Amino acid sequence: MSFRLLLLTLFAIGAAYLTLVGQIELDPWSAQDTINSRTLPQIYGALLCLAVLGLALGQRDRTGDMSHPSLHKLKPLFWLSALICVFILSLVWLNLWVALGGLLFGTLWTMGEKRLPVIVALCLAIPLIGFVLVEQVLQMTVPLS
Amino acid sequence: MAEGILTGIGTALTLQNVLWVAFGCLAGTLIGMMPGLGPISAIALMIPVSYSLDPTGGLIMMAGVYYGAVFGGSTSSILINAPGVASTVATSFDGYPMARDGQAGRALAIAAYASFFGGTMGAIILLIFASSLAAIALHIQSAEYSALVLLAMTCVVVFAGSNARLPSLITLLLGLMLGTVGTDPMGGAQRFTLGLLELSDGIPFVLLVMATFALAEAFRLAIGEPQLPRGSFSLRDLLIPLALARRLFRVASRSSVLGFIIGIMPGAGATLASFFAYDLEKRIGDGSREAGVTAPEAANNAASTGSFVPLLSLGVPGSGTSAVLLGVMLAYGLQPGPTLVTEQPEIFWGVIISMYVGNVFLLALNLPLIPYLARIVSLPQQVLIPLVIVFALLGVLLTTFSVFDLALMLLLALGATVLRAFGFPLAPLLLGFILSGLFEENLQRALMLSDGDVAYLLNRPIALGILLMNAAICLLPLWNRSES
Repeated sequence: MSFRLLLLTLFAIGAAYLTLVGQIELDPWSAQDTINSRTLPQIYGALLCLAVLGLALGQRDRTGDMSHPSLHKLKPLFWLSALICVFILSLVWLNLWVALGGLLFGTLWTMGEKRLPVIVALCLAIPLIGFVLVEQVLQMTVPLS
Repeated sequence: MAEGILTGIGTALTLQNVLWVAFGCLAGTLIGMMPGLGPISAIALMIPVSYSLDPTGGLIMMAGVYYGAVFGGSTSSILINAPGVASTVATSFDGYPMARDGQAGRALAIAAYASFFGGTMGAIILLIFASSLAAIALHIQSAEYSALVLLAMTCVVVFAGSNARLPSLITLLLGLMLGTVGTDPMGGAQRFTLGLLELSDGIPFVLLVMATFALAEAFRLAIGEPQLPRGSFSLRDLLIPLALARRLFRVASRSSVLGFIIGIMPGAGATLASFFAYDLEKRIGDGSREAGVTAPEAANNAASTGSFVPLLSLGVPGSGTSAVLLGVMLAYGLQPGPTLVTEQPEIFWGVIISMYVGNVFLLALNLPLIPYLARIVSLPQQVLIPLVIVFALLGVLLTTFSVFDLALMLLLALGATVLRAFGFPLAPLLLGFILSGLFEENLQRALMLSDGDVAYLLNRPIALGILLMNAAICLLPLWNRSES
């Protein structure tokens, strides 16, 4: 991802935000207010677009970790994001602590931890401690929606 | 007053109450260390326990829970860059880099000492000026708040340095924009919810902080070069060299006073105080990381003590935590307000002294634990990253109970990772998010009071003073440029 593409994305976010500001429904009595539900968002959106333009015009190209992405470098990020997505989806039909154990296993393996005793110990201990502390000691239930 | 203080000391220091405060400190620290659970959650979770005690014992235990949870929050903030509450965000700015550089023990020790110092200073100022400060706090209204919030935002951008001003402004605006998602607090209009019911209450703070700090940090570590665990931890980390201690004493002193002053304004609270103190220290101090940990920790503790001024003297809770404590006091049949100091001095001073006793106990109980806590950062990266991810996700789940929020968190974390990779600071984003609602609500309220007349802000002396200060700070970069 290049710096220019990032600035373009930020400008697009500002423009989309300003478009959405126009869709905010105002009550007839608050439409005439000096500061209504649209006023500050309009200012924020416009200022963001101006600031991005200012940065684009005033500064040279920046180089960040992602300016020249190599697949090797970004691979763990893709895998970690995919594992979190699987975790989120699995919460719909799996118990939280079981899903958490699965996520831990996946992320440990992805990050290069290959010692099986360490993986097994962490995957069992963390969800178990979480379950005991949250559901038994603090008496919290986790009703997911 | 002296009689009241002595009664308070006598009440707080009985064996039974000392044991309750010790229990509260321990419980609070454990709960506070869990991502997403801060002082408010800790106090709320301990309410059933407090009901089984007498009012004094219950309030004293709550004081321990409160200080324990604040310290627990600083711990996760420093060790894994996962501040569970807004008031410890500023601590992570320098605390986490210290931990990554093998100084976790030192950072935690400084945080503990600074918290203690801030709490002590706060208690002393409270003891001396409690009654008169309450009268001053009454003059701080919505016009002054909006001016103060504007000042905080200006400082973050202007003091960011000439090359970082525009990136800071961009992330601040992104934070302000994220803060407008949900139902407008004054007008009631739905904004930027895209028709999703999950967004109607806005984006939870814990979600944003876990996404932009904890999860984004884990992603950054994952795509960066592998680092070996650094540092050794021992009880020696708890000893601060004399020269450094002297320097940090000055930092803690000014941060505590600043924190206390901000803390007495109802609604401003510890978060604003910690950001202001951090920012101030970076401008006028030596800019060291140690000072960067000391300033927000001292300020947020002093501010927390300061927030008891409006609670006890006016019956107005100055922060979320003091609102929960107000509920506990009301449940005990106590009525905080102007008459509390004169009619029930033993309760008034008892609560203040017990807050301080909680602070002392926290230092005594937790200092020996610091070398063990500090070992968390010495975990190899392939273990630390999964743990941070799991704790961050769990922190959000335990706060919001929403699967949708987890998906939103992932999206925001990826965005934050990209922004950080290109050198955009994320602290202004968080500050913008925190201040967004506060700014809009107070500005709308001030204009409602004046029938929409903007000149109202300029007619109030304190608000005008803050706005003039704001204008002067805005002009600083131009003045610096002309000088250079």
